[in-house]
Amino acid sequence: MDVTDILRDRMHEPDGLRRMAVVSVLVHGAVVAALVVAPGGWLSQPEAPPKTVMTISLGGGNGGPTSGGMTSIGGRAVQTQTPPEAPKRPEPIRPPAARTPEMTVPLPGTVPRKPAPAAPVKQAPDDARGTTPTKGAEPREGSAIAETGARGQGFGLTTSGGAGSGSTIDVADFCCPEYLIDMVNRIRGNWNARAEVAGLVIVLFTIQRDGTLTGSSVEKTSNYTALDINALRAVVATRQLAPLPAAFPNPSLTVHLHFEYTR
Amino acid sequence: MRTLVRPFFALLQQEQGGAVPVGTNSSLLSLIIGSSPLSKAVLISLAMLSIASWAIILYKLWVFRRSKRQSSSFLDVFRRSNKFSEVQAVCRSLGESPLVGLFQAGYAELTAQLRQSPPGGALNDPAHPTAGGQRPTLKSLPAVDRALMRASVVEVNKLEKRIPFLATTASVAPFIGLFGTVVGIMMAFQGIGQTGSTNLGVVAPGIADALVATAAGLVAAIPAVVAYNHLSNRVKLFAAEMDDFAMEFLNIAERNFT
Repeated sequence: MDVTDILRDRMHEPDGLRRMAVVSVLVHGAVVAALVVAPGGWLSQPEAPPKTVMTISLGGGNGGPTSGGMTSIGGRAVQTQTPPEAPKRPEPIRPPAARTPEMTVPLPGTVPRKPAPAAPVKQAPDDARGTTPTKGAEPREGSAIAETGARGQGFGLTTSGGAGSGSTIDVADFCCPEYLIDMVNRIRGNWNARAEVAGLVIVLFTIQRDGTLTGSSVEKTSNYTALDINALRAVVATRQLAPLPAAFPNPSLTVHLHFEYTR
Repeated sequence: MRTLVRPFFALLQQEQGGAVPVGTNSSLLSLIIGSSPLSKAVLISLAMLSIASWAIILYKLWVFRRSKRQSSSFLDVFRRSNKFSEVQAVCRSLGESPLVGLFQAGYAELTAQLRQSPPGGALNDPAHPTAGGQRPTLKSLPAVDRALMRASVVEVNKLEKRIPFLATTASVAPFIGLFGTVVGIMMAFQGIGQTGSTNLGVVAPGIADALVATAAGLVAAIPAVVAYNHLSNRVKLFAAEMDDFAMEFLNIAERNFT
């Protein structure tokens, strides 16, 4: 056999590539199946247990135009009570005034006495030129709860143009107020605000992690069935919101939304 | 190959058409299912590259393992035997060793030269170099060297075959994944512009969807890079072993046939 013939025979690869391709396909299929079937938590971080739920008020529309209704009601500036003034000191008893000399007719020939020139006025020192000190404590921010009656950009819904009477959520320190603004805007789009009577309806519902609204119910009735149904229909018709923000750790968010009808 | 990847296509289509499984691990799958057709095409192409590269990796590792084992056996026989004919007899059973190719080429050239020498019966049989009183002689030892070099080139080419595909996969797969990510992010930003919201809940899912393509590209490329370097090194070791064997064969031929 010639060298060339031997080398031509040696050029052929050994069989087995097709078998390895089948093995490769099976391995890839197994990996895909493992991703589908494997228990959760392989690719995602373990979910932290939900924090202790507490109810905190976001203050609604009463926070004033600067706060947008999103601050706590206790954080607003409130006039504190001025402490009572100290009792006045008794005035000293003044001696009786000097007796006025009797008017006498001047003698003829006497020259009237010229009045003495007034002493030059000296400028008061700088320390003496201050204003009169004020009395009582200065107004400062306190923690008292007071109804100021101010109407700002509301979180709730009202027929008077967007200043709601307030709303609450069941989570402390909610991270993303813009999400709540987006939620209110979407629900407002489905809300028929026209009403012949005034009333306040509070609707309770829960936003799931994927943004679906569940558990809608009337938490506080307005005593008018039509208004209650109207408010509840606005929430139910919204049906789907954006998914809850990633910064919000809990699986769901419970909202108490206020619908205020004004005539 | 086309018939081999068909089941994988069927598996993908089944997953795409089926319902989203319930569970936290379904997020990755739901991302893939909910992605755009272009992203799916990118992922499918990356899956094909990965399947092909893994097939080559497994095949080459299997072939190299057999070649190394048979080369060891062949060298053992070659160094123990006094006759080339005995070595030639075991060549068929150890055919996957590259040293066998070198030996067969050198032996064929040796035989051809000795047959052309003046008739001497058994004296001219390279299988029995020391048989008889008169030693057979070679016409040209460089010709034997050239035959060994030709065989070495053939064996190295055979060992290196399909390995460049791994280098191609290693260099191209990240770019394909990056392409899918860029297109996905473009579409995500278009969607954000239409919704008019910069909320993280609106922005993040689109970007996460787009980044799946880059992850898939890296999954396909990283094993290909590692395997390419490993297999290339193995080929170099085989080439060095063949050079060593060629020198040894030439020394024996020069010692016995010149």
